[in-house]
Order: sequence, then C-alpha cells, then structure tokens
Amino acid sequence: VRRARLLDGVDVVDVSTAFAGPYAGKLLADLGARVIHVETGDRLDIMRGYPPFGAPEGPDRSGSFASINRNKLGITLNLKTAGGRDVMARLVCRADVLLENYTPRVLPSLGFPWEHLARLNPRLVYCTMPGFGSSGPHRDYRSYGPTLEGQSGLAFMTGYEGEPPLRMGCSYPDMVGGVTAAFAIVAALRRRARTGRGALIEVPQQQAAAALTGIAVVQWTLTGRESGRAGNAHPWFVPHGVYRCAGDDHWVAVVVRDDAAWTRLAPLLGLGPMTHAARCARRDEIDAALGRFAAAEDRDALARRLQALGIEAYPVRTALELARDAHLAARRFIEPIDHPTLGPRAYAGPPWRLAGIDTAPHTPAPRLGEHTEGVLAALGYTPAEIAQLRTEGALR
Amino acid sequence: VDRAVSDLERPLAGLRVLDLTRELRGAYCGRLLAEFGADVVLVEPLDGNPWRAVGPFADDTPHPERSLFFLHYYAGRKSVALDVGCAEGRAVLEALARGSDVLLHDLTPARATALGLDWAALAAAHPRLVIAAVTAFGETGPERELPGGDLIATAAGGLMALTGDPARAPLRPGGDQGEHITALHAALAIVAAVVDGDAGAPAARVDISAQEAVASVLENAMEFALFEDRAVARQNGRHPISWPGRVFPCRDGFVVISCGSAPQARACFTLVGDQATAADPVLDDRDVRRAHADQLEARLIARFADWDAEALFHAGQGLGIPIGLVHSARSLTEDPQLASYGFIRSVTHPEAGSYLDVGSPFRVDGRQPALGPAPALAAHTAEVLTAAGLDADARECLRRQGVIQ
Repeated sequence: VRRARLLDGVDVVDVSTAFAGPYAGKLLADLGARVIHVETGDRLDIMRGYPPFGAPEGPDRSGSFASINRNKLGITLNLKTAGGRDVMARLVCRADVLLENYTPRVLPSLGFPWEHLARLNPRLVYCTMPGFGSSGPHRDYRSYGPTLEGQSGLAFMTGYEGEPPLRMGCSYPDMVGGVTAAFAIVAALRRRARTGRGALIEVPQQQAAAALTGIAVVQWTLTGRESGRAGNAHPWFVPHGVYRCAGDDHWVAVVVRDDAAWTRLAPLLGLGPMTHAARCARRDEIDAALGRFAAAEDRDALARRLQALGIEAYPVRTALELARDAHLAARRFIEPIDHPTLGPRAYAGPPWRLAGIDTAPHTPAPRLGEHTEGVLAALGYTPAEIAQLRTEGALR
Repeated sequence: VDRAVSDLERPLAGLRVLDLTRELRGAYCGRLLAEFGADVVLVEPLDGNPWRAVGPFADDTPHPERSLFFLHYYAGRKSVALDVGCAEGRAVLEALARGSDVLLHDLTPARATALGLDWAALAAAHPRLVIAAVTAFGETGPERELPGGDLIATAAGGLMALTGDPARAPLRPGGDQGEHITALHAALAIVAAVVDGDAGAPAARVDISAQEAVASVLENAMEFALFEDRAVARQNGRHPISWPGRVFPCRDGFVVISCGSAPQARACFTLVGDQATAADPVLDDRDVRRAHADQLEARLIARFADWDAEALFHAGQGLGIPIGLVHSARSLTEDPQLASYGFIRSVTHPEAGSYLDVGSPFRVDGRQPALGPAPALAAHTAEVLTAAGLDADARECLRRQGVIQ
C-alpha cells in the first residue's frame, strides 16, 4: 500500500517519543502529511533501543522505530538551549499541527505554553496527549500503555473465566492513543478549513482507552453487572470461541450469531435445532461438542468448510503467519522500504486503501538527525547560522 | 443561540453521514463521527438494526429500545426505517446519499452489489461523496467476502494469538477491541478524505480492513515477524520486554505495573520494604530481570497481599513507578481523575431510563463534545425524508407500500 496524499501540504511537527505520539505521527505521515519528528540526541527516543533490531548497533538499528517513524523527516534539537527554542518557534510558525506527548509541565517549562504557541501561529492545531490529563488529581502520575490497560477498565474484562485480569499481548492503549489523537487532529483541520482557526486538542490517554470499554459502564448502571472475565464467551452469542485443531497451537474461531447459522452448524456436531435461549443454557455442552469436532481437523481446512456453510469461522493467526498470508499479499498490506542502515525490509500497513487518491512510495524512517540541516535551511537558516547553532549545542 | 454557536465550533459540524452499518466496527465509526458533530443518519430495516435484538438489555427486559449494544454504539444518530430491498426503497436511499458527504457501510463487495445500489452512478452524480466500506477483510483479495465480527477480526489480525496463556486457548481481549480499533482507523481515513475534498480534490472510495487494523496495533509483533521471521509467543499477560510488566493481585483488587528501567524496577521493591532485592544487581539489566521473573514476582505478590490497590497505586506513583489501578466499570465511574474531566457521561433515554456511559476522550479548546442518546426506531424518518425533498404525500405513499416506517 503506497503512501496516500490526502494530507498533502499539511505540515506536522512531532515532538513526541516512544509509542503513542509517534503512532499518531505515523498515521498522519501515511496519509501524506509532511511530518518532522523532533528528537534530542542527549536522551534518545526509547524506541531507538526497542527490538527487533536490523543492524548490530547504533541509534538506527531498531525495526520498531523504523516502522513507527516511516515517512517522517527527523531532526535533532536541544530545547534547553536558546538556539533550539528559536528553531522550535520557527517550526511552529510554519506548522499546521504540533503533536506532543510530554507530561503536562514540560512544554510550558521550555517556554511554549499553549497561549504562546497560539500567538506564534493562530492557525496551529496543537495536540497534547498526556497520560492522565493536563489537569486533575493524577495529572503528574506516570503512565505507560500497559498501566493504562488497567486504568482504563480494559484489563478487567480480559482473561479466563473465574481468573484474574490479564494484560493483552500488546501495549494496546499506546496505539489507541495514537489513532485517537490523529483522528482528532484531522477533525480539527476540517474545522480550520471552515473557520480559519486552529485548535487546542487534548487527548488524555487514559480516556482514549477507557472510551473503548464498550457497553461495560452502561451495563453496570442498567443491569448492576460488571463485564468481568469470560474467556472468549460473548454476553449474547453462543457458540463464540476458539477450538483447538490438529497441529501445534492451531485454533479455529467460530461464532454463531443467529438461529440460521446454528441450523447449519448443529448437524456437524450431532446436535439438533436450538433457540438462542436453549444455546445459552447448553453453552458448555455446545463448546465441548465443538471442541471434539475440531480436535482432529486441519485448522485451515476446517475454517474453509465452515465458511462454505455460511458460518463465521477463521483460523487464529500469528503475526508470523500474517507476514506470509496470501490474502494480505494480494492486498499488498506488507511492502518493502529500503532504509540506508537496515536495508530493504518489509513493513506492514496502513489498514486502508483509498481508490481515486494520489499516492507516493513510502520513505524510510529518518536516521538520527538525518534532516536537521535540510529542515533548518528551509526555515531560513544560513549555513553559517546552522554551524553556529551546532557549536552552541542547540542541534544535539 | 449559544447552542448554535457551539454547534458550529464542533470540528465536523455540517458533515452529513449516511450510516448503513450493521457491525460494531461500522457502528462505532459512526459514533465517533457523531461525537465530533457530524449529522449521522442511520438507515435501519423496518424491523430495526440487528443489534436492537441483541442482549443484554436494560433491566434485563428484552425490547428493541433497550439493547445495551444499540444504546452505546448507535448513540447520537437519527433513525430512518427503510426497506432497501425494493426499488422504491433504493430510490429513497439514493436520494439520501445525494444529500450526504459520507456513505458509511460495512457490506462485503458481493453484499454491496446485492443491495442494488448503483455505486458507479452514485459516485458520478455526487463526485465529492466519500464511500467508506469498513469490512472484516477489505474489499479486495481472495477472502474479501468472508463475514465476521470482533472474534473473527481479532483471530485473523494476530491479536488473539498474542493474548492469554501459551498452554491454553488464545484469548479475545474484552470489549470488542478489534471492532473499536478498526472504527478509529476508519474514522481517521474518512475525515482525511473529507478534508482533501474540502480542498477541491476528488473524493475517495475508502476501504478499511478489520484484519489489517488489528494487525497494525500488535506493538512490535509484526516487526519481529518481518525482521526476524519469528512469532512472538503468548506471555500470559506479561509484557514481552519490560519487567515487571503485568497485573498483580493485592488485598482488595489488582494493580498493573510496567517498568521500563532498572530504577523503576528497584523502586517496586523499595515500595514494599524489600531493600535486599531492591539492591540486587539482578535488577540491573532488562533481560536478566525478565529471566528471573517468576521468583522476583513471587516476592512482590507476597508483599502486595498486605496492600490495598488504591494505597499501592498512590505510594507507587509517589516513587515514580508506572503503576495503574485495574478499574472495573464501577470503579471507572468513581475515578477522581476521570470525574475531574466529566468523562463519564450521564444519558437520559425515554425507554431505557437514565444511565452512565463512557464519554469522549477528546477536549477541543477545553470542551468535551456532546453526544445525544441512541434514537428510537424510525424516530426521524419524516424529518430526514422531508429534508431530502419527499413531501407528506410522497411519504404517506411510501408508508402504505411498506417501504418506510
């Protein structure tokens, strides 16, 4: 999938680090925005040290960093120096979007409170994504994606029946915060197109994840029941689960959402017609029958057989299988990008296809400070001024 | 007057969305657009959107206006009841589409064709219409016709294989996350297409795959597959890299800790008064810490048994430990940080009564977007059809033919 040019001409200054903020920047870059990732060499973005690695050493070896920062330009800037802050001010003056995920006090302490940013550029869409919020009793508390799984209510709902809560297999709130912020930013750009005014957008990451608890809060207030751990069982649909097949850790997911689908599945299990209420009452029996039915079967063949009967079924795939998947290959979900340090490597995403939209090839993630000189030159700095800033330590 | 001004301030004010969704991913996408001020019209079959028949129900009383799924996911819409299975109904649908900026659906290509909408003619007549399909597997590729909701999306997208105990069944994360993450990416792409349309560019056909949206948020599991040809195994809730990085039981509940550095890991032991472990060099290196996870975690679990979650949370944060409470729905509604933002939203619904729901995670210029309740079936048929140019006589005729309700 090539890079879309929907956001052609949108300039984004991305001073975020780690996962959530850079994921927002990645999505905007994939949509065609010109995203400048501002880093500091004094304290490397932790993603530059995050596995997997595609080179033995150095700040440009991380595949995770390369994936989440593709299509961006990268500069290094020390905002603790006057020269660094001058560059930042010039960047902000020309930007459409400023994206950051510092704790709430950081940017104001560096001389960039919102009021100042809005004075520099009244058309600026400024997006801040604090963990808990820029205000409130927990504003100075630390959060990472995994802790927000708990703090948002998501971990409480994930786990085996009757057992403690479990984290998911990824730091889901990080990506949730990123895509939520990117959505809010483009929505604010639409308002700006209408009104000419920028916006102050705040996306507290705890809230971005808590917004995804589905019906849990409604259910608590309207039925008095919590949405606790239930394995793969669904509060309504039966059967709804994964069933072990022949092979190493091979499972097939099967769902019946209506009586018609049950009528097609039941004969395979040696069971008869059942209403929804009957299926709920006999859930364990149905799960056991499905388990016996699937146990000796080839996972992929079984999924195809059930699909052909109009029953929702699919193999439980690993990421490694997705990397080799024929359907995703036909959709060109995974495509190579040539990176000067990492070489040609395959990268996944984004999850959209946009017919009728201009596209461009992806560009590799920036090496540390790769575009500092070019970006500063475009901001009007002369080579002598850039050399002076470098001497002062402003471009570290 | 204040209301009108604030409506104009909403980012998507004036955006007209025709919502034909039947899956939660499409439904949540419509909710996101409505939260930002879009005018979202839901077209339902005459007997109602299928989620109206899905429980649980308010007060456990089955009723089409009491489905918790419908109340949550279809909040903020207008409802039109229309039989799109007949020529007259399709003509009404096309009239509604002509007055829209976005047509949002979750039909597979064959089902979209079977609907009988002339998509090419629609696009030609309305070149700025963004047509967005939010499907399980996308609109192209050999598996494009496979149906599926959240379980299928999370199985197909690699998230279940990463979640749970490696010795037991892969787990679906709670609360339809495959549907939510697809809806968020869809809403982003749709609004980006609209912004581009504002600039005069031709509109897009937006094709979103739930499988791909899930595969896009696996942290770095795709990168391990693509860089090292390696599958990341399920870790039974442990973070694959950070340690400690898991849910811990304590006296009255659970906390979750995720330490990214040696000082943070040491602080966990300082917190519970285990100075010997806090000073142990085993904590110095990330990989060494994790290799000793079982014995180190056992020490923490033994001491946490004397702590209440709330006390652990505040004391841990005081030492700079990234620690979070494991909130239930009830404790979410009591969280002082969320309360300070007014995040939990109070909803009044004529049939279901008053209840709480999660609110919007956005503040635009300091304000939380508003969102109306889910509509009663067909509550806005007359209003919406009138706006589309169908007068009272035309509507009555359609009603007698059983095309609208």
